Amino acid sequence: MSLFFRATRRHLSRQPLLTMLSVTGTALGVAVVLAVDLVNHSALRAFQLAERAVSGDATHTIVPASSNIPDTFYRDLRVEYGFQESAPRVTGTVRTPNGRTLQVLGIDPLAGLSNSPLGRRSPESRIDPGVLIATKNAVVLTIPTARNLGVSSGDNLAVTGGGRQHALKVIGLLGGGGAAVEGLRHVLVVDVSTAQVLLDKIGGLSRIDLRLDRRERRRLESLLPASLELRASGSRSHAMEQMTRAFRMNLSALSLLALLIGAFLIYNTQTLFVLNRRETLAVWRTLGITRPQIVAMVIAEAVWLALAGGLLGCLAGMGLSRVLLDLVTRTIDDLYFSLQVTNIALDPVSIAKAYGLGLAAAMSAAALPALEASRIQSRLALSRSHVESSARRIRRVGVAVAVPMWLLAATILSVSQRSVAAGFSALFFIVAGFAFLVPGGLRVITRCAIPVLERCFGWMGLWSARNILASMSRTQIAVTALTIALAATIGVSVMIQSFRLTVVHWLDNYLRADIYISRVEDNGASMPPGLLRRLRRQPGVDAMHTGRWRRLPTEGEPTRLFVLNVNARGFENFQLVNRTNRNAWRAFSTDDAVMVSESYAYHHRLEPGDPLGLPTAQGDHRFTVIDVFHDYRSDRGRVVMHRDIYARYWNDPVIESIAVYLAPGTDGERFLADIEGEMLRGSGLVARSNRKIKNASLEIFDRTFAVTEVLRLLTLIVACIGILSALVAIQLDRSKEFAVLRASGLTRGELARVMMIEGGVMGTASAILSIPLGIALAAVLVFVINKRSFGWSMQLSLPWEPIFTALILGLVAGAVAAIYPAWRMNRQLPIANLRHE
Amino acid sequence: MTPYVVLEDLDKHYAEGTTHRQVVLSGVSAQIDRGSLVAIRGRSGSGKSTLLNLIAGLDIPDRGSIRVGGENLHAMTDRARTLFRRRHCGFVFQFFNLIPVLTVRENVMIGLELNAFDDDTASRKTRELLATVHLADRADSFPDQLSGGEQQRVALIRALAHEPRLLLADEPTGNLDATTELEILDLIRRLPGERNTTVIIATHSELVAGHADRVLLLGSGKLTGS
Repeated sequence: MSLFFRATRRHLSRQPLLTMLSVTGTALGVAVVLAVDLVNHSALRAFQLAERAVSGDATHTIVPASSNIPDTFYRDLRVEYGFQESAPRVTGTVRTPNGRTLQVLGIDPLAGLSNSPLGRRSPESRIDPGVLIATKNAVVLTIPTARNLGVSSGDNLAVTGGGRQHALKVIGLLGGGGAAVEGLRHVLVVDVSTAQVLLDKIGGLSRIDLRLDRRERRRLESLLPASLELRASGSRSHAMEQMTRAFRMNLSALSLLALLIGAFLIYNTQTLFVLNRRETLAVWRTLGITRPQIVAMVIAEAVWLALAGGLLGCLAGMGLSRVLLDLVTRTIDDLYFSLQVTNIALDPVSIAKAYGLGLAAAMSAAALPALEASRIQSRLALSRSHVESSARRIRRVGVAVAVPMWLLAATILSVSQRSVAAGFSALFFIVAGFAFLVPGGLRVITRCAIPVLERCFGWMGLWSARNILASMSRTQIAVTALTIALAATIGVSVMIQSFRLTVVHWLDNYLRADIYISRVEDNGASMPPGLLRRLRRQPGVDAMHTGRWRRLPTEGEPTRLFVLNVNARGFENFQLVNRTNRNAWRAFSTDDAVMVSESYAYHHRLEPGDPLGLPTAQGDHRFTVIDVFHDYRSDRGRVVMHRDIYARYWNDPVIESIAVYLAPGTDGERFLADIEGEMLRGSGLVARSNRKIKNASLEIFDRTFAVTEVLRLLTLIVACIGILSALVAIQLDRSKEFAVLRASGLTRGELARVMMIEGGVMGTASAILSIPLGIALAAVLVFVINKRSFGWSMQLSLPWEPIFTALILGLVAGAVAAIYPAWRMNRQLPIANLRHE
Repeated sequence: MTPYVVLEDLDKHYAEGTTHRQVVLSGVSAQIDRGSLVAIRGRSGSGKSTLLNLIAGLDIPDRGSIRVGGENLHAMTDRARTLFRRRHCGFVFQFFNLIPVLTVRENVMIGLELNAFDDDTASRKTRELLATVHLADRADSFPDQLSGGEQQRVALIRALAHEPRLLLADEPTGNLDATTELEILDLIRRLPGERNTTVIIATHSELVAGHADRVLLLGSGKLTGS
């Protein structure tokens, strides 16, 4: 058997281009899967490390339902109630002069928990707690962070926080390495009181960490006021994992698409290897090699290539993950919570998973060619006509396979109402079913194109079309791979554009006020007293609405409650989904009723008229859901309550934001400049026009999908390699035929044109076929995947731009992929190929 | 003499399209003695190669039976037929069919390796066989570096290396010049006497048939004479 496998290895080394293409297909697929997995893993890990570094071995955390914990409560907790093993934390973010965001962690270094961030360092890097407390604006940071910021111990560090500038003094650096230091990357450790000044949270704490046994927990729960919540440590990490699950799953699905396209490429290459060796394989069979041995050989070959491709893919994936890291982190930062990740955690499980998936894809892809190879037997060589008849068989059974697959997809979608994974499974069956129709579609399109090709390119056009029809075994797989990749491009583009248009429409309706005023730092503090009155007196102000955010401790994850003091006109800004309640405004402003966003309704299975229990300051109370409104602020959703109703159950006069409606004819820019100069300077408040907020929102939207664009591009590259490999194979297989034609007077230019026309026809056919599949994918993404992942519904719009782009891409990809085989063919002397055999 | 190959009432056809079938062999019966050299002669398309493939177990007849060395090939599984062929048959083809990515030495060693000869024996036998056909100095060459005659000599010793009882040759000299043809025929002619190998050659050449102990004439799928 060793000679048999030696022959296989040598065959691969004698076909370097095809071998390289197959390796590249696997490598790209594995690279994309690994990169996405590593980035997802790194983001989760960074969050967990940061949590662990801050909380240490605390077992529980007290968090406020909204804004901050009064620091008097911490004093009571220790002195009155005797919870000595507790530590206050003040957290938030500041910016450096060059725009870099840093986390601030305010601690009490002398507090009861022994595992404060300062106490866990190695002896040589331990910081004297007294110095941190006694030195004004003292800060401690890790050595890597200091290196990144270009500061060392004793230096000053300028930051902006709470709308003001501050000069911090670096009093020491934390070293020693390990997860603890990694968790404190991008973190400025300061004393609690310094943090309160930096973040404009005077008198407030962000959380209190504690170490409690069961008995103490029960005692503390009975003591806690309704405005505070006791949570088990680690619940934030769990919540983070839950919140970002759909986002991460969507990325993983897109990366698996790249692997699927890669598998097509492997299938294509293995089929070509078998075709090129059909006579040699027949000799082996004659000499006594059994069918299972042939199957094993073809699969082993694919595995060897996948091992090499997987290895390269892992290396490339690690590199690619660094490119994607920034995009993904920024998206999580924009959409979910503050997160900074600079290091990719090289998770061995992720690497093994991507490598294993690559191998599995290669083995599955090679199974059919292997079986085909094992059938080579009786007449010494499997004839090309036999191979083509197999290709014809696939074409004939196309509809018979596609329809059951689509029915299966429809069944999965109707049976599974909410599962995202089931949605992706259905998507897979839709794509797989369509793949079986591509060969038939290619044949029809090529036949229809014959008159056009003949008119445009004469006999070369005719010949090219006939070549494609005669070599379906080689061309149909490549065209299928490119069709799927282009369809993914169309589907994802249409989905993104539909989503964008929906968001633009929503922003136009929702942001109808002219000016929005809020705090620079989202610290839960109220607007300065008298600001509302002064604004009302300002010339040009027509109306004002106020807002207040609360986080209510509800089961599962906290509920975001938005308290809105709004009139009937402002209420119309909400785009209601059902509009069944004609007295919605009256109910909203007078009854114990709330509105819920679409995402919230989806995640909590709520409909108009349903009761919704919320923990108020007076205990749990049931509110009625009036209606559901379209809202794309967050995929976790929110509840909106009128201020008058809120005042019945909470004694909380805090106002965090103000929306100002200007009277017709008022110059908005001038008004903005006036209030910024007169009222807001030095107040920690910021005023923004609705245009600015819309632009910022759309910027975030575009950033969110930047990673999707990168993955889409990579998928397309994999598919282009598929077309290239098919054309190279055609060139290899027909080298003798081309040589005869060259010897008979065909010029190099004519030969190159024939090959490029073939590539162009294949690419264009892929593009045409990708349009219906792409639109179907977009529909599933919009109506199923997005709805199930985030709870958002949106309008499907069909812009021409992605479809036109796909057509151009297909044509160019096919023609460009033909350049190399044409150049290679033209470099060879015809006599060399004539002498061959 | 004992018959080594027994063919009984063989029929074989191939489908052409969905409706038409082409009859390749019809009612072919013959017995071939051990250690004899038999030529199957006929024009192109007369069914010579098909008959050879059936005797090698590469294909199965639609009707009738084939016994080789007492074994009923028709009754065997595909795997058993493959292993039978591996052990007991050697093949020589018109277009040589050497494995292009293996050297001359490696090509000769295929049969030895498949039949689990130990490395030393395989190397020794390969050296001896290459010397017999005067190709010892080309052992490390690849097939495309050899002339047609040299390739056929390699093909012949590859077929004989594992000492099969049956050598099947399909137009073995069809692609060679007259001098080389005689050289190859001479080598084949000596086999029955020296190794007691049964040799069956499919050919349309009168010259080749002239070297045979017996000639089976095949016309339109039927044996027309012996």
